[in-house]
Amino acid sequence: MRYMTLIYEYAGGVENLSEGQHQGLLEQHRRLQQRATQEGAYLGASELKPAGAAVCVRVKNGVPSLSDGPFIESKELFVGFYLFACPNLDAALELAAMIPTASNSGVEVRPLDDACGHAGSARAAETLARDGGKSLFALLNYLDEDFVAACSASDMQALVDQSLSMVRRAEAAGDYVMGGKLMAPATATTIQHAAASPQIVDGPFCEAKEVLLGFHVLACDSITAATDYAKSLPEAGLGVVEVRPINFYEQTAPRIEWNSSAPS
Amino acid sequence: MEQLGAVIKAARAGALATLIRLLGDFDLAEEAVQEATCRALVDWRRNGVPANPLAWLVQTGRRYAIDVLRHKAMAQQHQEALVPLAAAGPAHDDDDALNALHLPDDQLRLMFICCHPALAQESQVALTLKTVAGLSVDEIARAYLSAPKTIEQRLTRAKRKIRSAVIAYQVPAPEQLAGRLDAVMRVLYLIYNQAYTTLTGAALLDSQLAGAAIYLVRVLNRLVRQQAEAQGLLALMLLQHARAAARVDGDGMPVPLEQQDRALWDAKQIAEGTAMVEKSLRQGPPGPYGLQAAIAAVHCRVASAAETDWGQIVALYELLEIVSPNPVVTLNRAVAVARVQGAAAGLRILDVLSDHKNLLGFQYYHSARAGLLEEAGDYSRAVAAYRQALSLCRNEAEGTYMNARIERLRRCMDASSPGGPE
Repeated sequence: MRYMTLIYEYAGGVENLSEGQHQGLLEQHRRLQQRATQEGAYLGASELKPAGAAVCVRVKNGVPSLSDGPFIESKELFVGFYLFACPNLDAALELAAMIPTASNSGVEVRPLDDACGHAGSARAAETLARDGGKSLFALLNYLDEDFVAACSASDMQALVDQSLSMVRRAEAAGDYVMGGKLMAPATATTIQHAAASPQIVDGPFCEAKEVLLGFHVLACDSITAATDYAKSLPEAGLGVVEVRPINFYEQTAPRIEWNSSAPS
Repeated sequence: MEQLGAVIKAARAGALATLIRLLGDFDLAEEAVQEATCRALVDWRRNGVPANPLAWLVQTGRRYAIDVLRHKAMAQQHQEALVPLAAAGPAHDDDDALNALHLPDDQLRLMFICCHPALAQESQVALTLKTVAGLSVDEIARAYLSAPKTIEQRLTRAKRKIRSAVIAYQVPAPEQLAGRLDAVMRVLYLIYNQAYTTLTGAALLDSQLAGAAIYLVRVLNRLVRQQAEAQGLLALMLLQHARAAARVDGDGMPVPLEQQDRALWDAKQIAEGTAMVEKSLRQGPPGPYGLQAAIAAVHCRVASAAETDWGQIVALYELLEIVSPNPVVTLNRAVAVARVQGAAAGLRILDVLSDHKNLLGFQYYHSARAGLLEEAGDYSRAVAAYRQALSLCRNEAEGTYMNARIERLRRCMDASSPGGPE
C-alpha cells in the first residue's frame, strides 16, 4: 500500500528558526529518508514553498479566476509531503512519526488510491528542472467531502478521466512529473502532539469541509503555465486547485508506476 | 440443547478471530461464522459435538467463504482472492491439520486491530464488543443509549478504514507492545465503566456489559501472560463487580460504599480478585490498574466499613498519584485523608484542587466536597455543593439521592437555627 504523509506546520514556524535548529530539522529528515530507503519504503518527498507564494484556481461557469494565498488559512499550513510504500498502516505511521512536525504540530497519513495515480514522464524531476530550466509546482486538489461521498463510481470515473486528459497533455509537453489520488479523509490517521507525547488519532489533520483529495507535480516555465494546467482539472470547477511552487522535490527508485485507469 | 448453545457460544469468538485472519475481511468472516454456527446447531445435534468445536466452526466457515468467493470470482473474475485462502487450509479433514488452522493468538490479534489507535475510540469500543465479545448491534446500542443505526455506522466506518488503510492483523512488535496493550486495556476499562456508571434501570443489561468486559479482560490475560497491568485490570473489575448487588437498594437508589450491606458482596469474586491483585503486585512496580485494584481489595477485605484500613488506602492513593497524576486521583486521596485526619484535612486538599477547571465540571468533586462539608458541620456550603453536583448529574437515581441529602440538611439547618421558618 502506498501512503502519502501530509506535513503540517505552524505558520511562520520555520522562518524563526536559528541556523542550528534548521540544520537539526534537516538532519531528522535525512535520518528518516535513510531508514525509509533501507526498508524499501521511500518513494519520494517534497517541500513546498511558503504558503504566501500560493495561487488558488477556480472555474465558475467556464470562467477561470485566480486568487492569492493558500486555500486553507489556518495556524497550521500544509508544507510538504512524503510518499511511502509500506506493508501496512503501522509501518507507515512509524516512518511518519520520524518527521519533525509529528512531535510539534502534526502529520497526516492517508492511503493513496493505487488505481488512480499517474507515473508521468520517465524523466526524473531534477533533470526536467535542470535541463529544461523549468520550475516545479504542486497542484493540490480540494473537493467538498460531502460531494465526493455522494459521487457514484461512474461519476468518480468521469472525474478521473478529466484529470487524465490534463495529465496526458502535460506528459506530451514534457511537463508532467507525477501525481496521485488520495483515499477519502475517513481513511486518514493523524499523529498530533497532545499532552506530553505524539498521539495517533483517527481522522484527517484538517477538519474542513473541503479536503485535499489529490495532487499533481508539474515542471513548468512559470506559475502561469502551471495555473493553466490547473484550470483544466475537474477540481477547479467543483472545488479549488491550489498551485504551490516547490522548494525541494525528490522521487526515488523504485519509480512509481501506477495504473492510469480506475479498476473495474 | 442449552449445553449445545453454550458450546457454540464458547467456540464462536475464537472461530471468528481465526476466520478474520484467514479471510482478511471482517464482513465475510462474520457471515461465515454465522453460517457455520447455524450448521453446527443441526449437525452437532444429530452427530454429537465434535472433538474440537472451534476447528469445526473454522473449517465449515472457511468452506462457506470459499464458495462465496468462488461465486464472486466467477462473476467478477477475481480469482486472486481465492489463492491465499486455498493455501491457508488443509484439503482433508484430518484433526491435526484442522487444529492448525486456529492460532491461539488470533483473538489477541483481533483485540489489537479492534483497539488500534488509528480508529476512533467509540469505534474501538463498538468493534471490540461486536467482534471479540460477540454482542449484537442492538445490545451495544442499548448499553450506549444510541440508535442501532449509529452503532452500525461506526462499525462500518471502522471496518472500511481497516480495509482501505491496511491496518494489519497482527500482534504489535515487542517495542510497541506496551503502548498498544495500554490502548486495549483502556477500551476494556471504558466498557466496564459504561456498565458501572449506567447502573440504574437496566440492571440486566449492565451486568451483560460488565460480563463482556470481564470476559474480554480474561481473554487478554490468557493471551498476554504475566502482564502485571492486565492482571491488575482483571482484579479491579472483579473487585468492583463483586459489590454490584450492594450498590443499589431495593428502590434503585445508589448506596455509598460505607453503607453497603457487605453480605451482598460476592465472596467468590472478591477471593479471585484479591488473589489476582497479589499476583499482579508480585510482578514488579504496580501500574495504575494494579494500584486501583489494591485499593478496592483493601475495602473488600474487611467485614465492616469501620474496620477499613484508611491509612493504607491513603498510601496507595499517594502511589497512584505518582504513577498517574490526575486530579480525580487527588480527589479520591482527599476523601481517604479525611477518614484518617478528619474532614477539614480532606477539604484542604480539595481547596487546592479547585484550580482545575475540568474538575469543576465533575459531579463527584462537588458531591465528595458536599459530603466532607456536611461532616465538618458546614451545612449551608454542603447544600450549595450538593446543588452544584446535582446540576451536573445525569443519573436519575443519584439525582434523587442528592435531593434527599439536600432536603435532610435543610431540615437540620431549620431545626438548629432559632427563629427559622415554622
